[in-house]
Amino acid sequence: MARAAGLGDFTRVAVSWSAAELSAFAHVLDRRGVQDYELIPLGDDIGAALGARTSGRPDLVAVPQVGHVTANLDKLAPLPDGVWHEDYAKIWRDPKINGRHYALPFKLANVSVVWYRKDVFASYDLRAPRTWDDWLDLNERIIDAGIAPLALGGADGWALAQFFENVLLRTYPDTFDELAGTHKANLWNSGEVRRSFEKVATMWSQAGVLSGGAGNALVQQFPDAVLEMCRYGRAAMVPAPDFAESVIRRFAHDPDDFDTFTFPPERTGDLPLVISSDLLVLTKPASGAAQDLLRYLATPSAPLPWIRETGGFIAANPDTDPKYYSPTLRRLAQALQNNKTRFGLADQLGRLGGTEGLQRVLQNLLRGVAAGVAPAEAARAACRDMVDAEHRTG
Amino acid sequence: MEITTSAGMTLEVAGRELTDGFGAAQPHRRRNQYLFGVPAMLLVALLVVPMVWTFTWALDADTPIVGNFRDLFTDPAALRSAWHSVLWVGIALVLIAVGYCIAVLSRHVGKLWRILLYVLILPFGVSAVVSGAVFRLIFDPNPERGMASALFGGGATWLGPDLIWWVLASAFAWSWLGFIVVLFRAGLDSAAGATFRLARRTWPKPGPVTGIVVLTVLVAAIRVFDLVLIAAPNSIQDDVDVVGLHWWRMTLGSPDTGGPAALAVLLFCVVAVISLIGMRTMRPPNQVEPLLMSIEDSEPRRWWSWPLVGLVGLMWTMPVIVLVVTAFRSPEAAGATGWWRFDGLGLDSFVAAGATWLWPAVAGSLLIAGLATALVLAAAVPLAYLLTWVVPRKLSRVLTGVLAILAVAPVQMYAGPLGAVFADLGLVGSRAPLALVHAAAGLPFATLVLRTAFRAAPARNGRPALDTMWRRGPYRTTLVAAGVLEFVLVWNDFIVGFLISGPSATPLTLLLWGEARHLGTSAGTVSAAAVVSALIPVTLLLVTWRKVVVGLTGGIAR
Repeated sequence: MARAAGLGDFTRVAVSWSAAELSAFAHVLDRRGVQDYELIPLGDDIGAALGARTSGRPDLVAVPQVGHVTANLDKLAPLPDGVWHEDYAKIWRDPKINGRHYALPFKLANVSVVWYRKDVFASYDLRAPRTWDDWLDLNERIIDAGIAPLALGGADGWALAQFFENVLLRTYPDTFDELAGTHKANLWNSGEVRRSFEKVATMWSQAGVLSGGAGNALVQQFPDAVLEMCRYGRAAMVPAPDFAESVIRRFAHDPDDFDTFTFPPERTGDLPLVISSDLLVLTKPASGAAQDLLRYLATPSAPLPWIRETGGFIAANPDTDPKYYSPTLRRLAQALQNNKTRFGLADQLGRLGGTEGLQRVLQNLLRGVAAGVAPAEAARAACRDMVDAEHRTG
Repeated sequence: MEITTSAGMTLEVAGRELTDGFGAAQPHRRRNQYLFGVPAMLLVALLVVPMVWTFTWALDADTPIVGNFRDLFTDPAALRSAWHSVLWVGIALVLIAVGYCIAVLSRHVGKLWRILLYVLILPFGVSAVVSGAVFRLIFDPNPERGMASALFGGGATWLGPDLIWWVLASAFAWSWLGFIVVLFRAGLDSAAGATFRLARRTWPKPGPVTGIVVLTVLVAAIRVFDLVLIAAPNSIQDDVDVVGLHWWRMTLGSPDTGGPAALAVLLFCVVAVISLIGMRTMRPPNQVEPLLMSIEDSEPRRWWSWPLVGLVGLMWTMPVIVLVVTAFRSPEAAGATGWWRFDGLGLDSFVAAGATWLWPAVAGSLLIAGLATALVLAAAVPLAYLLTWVVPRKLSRVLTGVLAILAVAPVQMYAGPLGAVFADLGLVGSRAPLALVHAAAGLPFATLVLRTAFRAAPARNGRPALDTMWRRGPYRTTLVAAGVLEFVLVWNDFIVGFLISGPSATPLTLLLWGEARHLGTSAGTVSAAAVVSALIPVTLLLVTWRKVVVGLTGGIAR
């Protein structure tokens, strides 16, 4: 009751997760045996948690975007000693101040993933595509079989951004890095970017490719797109990160009916994977209780309840025992160890990557596709919009 | 009676029964009485100072005074949001007309009015966040889950750019129609057969309640915010952007204060003008004897009573049914299929929401709403008392006008500076300061309600002593009405908490929004939390609605 009244010494933990993921995280915390925390689900508004220097702010925040950590370093307390693992540096070269780390990777996501229905692939003798052109052919064969090949969650701009990021990174990796770094002017207007937009628009505008049509995909959220494949059987594939597994496990009649392939590159080769991560940070001044909680979450076995019961969780801690992953997740986790990785542009670019920039631009691209705009024209408009957005967000 | 000031000081008002109040002929006594207005003045200052601040921000531009406004009028996105707000005014006017017609017809439905009344008034206690969530569930594009898509086939994309306005207007109508009908009905019952002519027909006159109905609903329509935020998918937010939301998007990330301030000032000017016009029409009539508000049949019942009440009743209960049934389904069942399957029934969704965040948020909202209500009553009752019986009439009129403007001032008008001060003082996410802001925001409206009711009290009762008001029947009714309204408004608030304090103060509505991030698949837990959040204000409102109507209509319908 004291916790309920907001009284007493409770560590306030702000997260962006909701629904099944939120319950899973509550289980993770409860396994400590003490309920000394208050869980604050902020959804997409998680950025507000680091908003200002304040007394009422959360003590511990799971930040879903790396860019948000780097932009708010002055509000953070350094991590306690003994939680950092050298392998984290492989994922993220975090900004250190006086040799101290400020954010601890907790959950990793493999974003270069396409989920598919094994039964459809088996009954039409289809094989996972290895290149982009393979994928276009595959889509055509699935359309001929009377099923929509893809489901998209266009109402969640980040889901579309991840699609685009995969196309760009796995076609023009250098351009991707230049855009993420301190890039030259007019890069968003470059041929590489425009061709990437055009590839995206071309696939989305193929007749019958999107479950429910492009107009429906525009108002459908990410988990609903997964349901189109795993529950209602209207779509054969859904391009979605590993954490789609939590939706599949919760809603599919048989969760073993699904497998994944790596997001097809332009040409086969040693290309980086797109990742994202939820990073744990302590806000200033970090209380002893908050530090203890973070120390607990940094242990290899802390996320096991989530991994076992809910799924869709790849531990950032390299010492977490992989035997509790489902076979699919174990493979996706292994892929992150074996490949180069990049954080998505939407995670790195701040406002330009958000709903004022890349995410809205891709939603408008999808809208253009729904209205019958030609892919080349839609791509040119997207480049123009990105240049505008870059001006606006300064 | 103890009065707690906003500064935490407790004034104990001595229990000296004075039917005639303090002697009006003793000027120094009168001066002493003005001290009772101090808490109210402090709260009003909490609104007025940041508003003046916003004004200066708005005028401070490269081209002094006009610069920021000129930029707004050349910004297509800002103009579009303004056009959408005008559209909302249109929706509100249509809804008022429909409400009036139903109120007129309701006089012919006999005792069925009792059913209709409760069905219509219930949604008024439900927060806009919840009603937005319910309508988004009903119009879910997925035919397995969305009732409208299942009924009308998958062809229409209800939440898409073409049909989203119908969804938003329905949700708004669901919330507000009850308020309109009940007040118009009270007015019709009191006006005792007076009529007016319009379009070559004779219509019953609803009397002076018209002012308060039009004012309240128009201002609500112009200030609409959280409903749009939750009901429209992120990808088509631009299609339904309104001035209030556009203001918020302008402030996001951009350090520029001038542009948003100018937009807030424009919004404020529009509602202030509406409010002042509304107040003029609201002057209580001099010689009208208050009538009893009746829920008995006032006209003979007609044959169409049953169909009419049945149809309106069904349409207005449907969202409640959707919400409650969804809440009592398991998260797995509710996330994948529609409520009409009636499978997976149980308390699982409540348990799931309760295991994570629900109960601390309920406690947080109780604390914020309870504290704000106590503060408002402690400050507004003395102020209304002064305005009614102590302050000279002319000054009282001016002050009332000021209060009428402050009562409708959009949150955007003071959120900028207050949010900055909150950040500087480290108050973001704290509950007590948020309650204080709520009290300041609610004070003008509460004072107006109290003053109107005090003025309408029968003259023979004379002027009561401040401390005896609770014991006197008519005044107690008004105090309850003002208290209930303030509590429900704060409990259901989204925008004040959202714009000023941030979600970390964890009021229920804000966390509900976070949980509703993926509304479709988390329909079970969202609905369970929504039912819990609606239970308290709806119960309060259903129990006290008569007092609330009397309070709102200033005793016309007593």
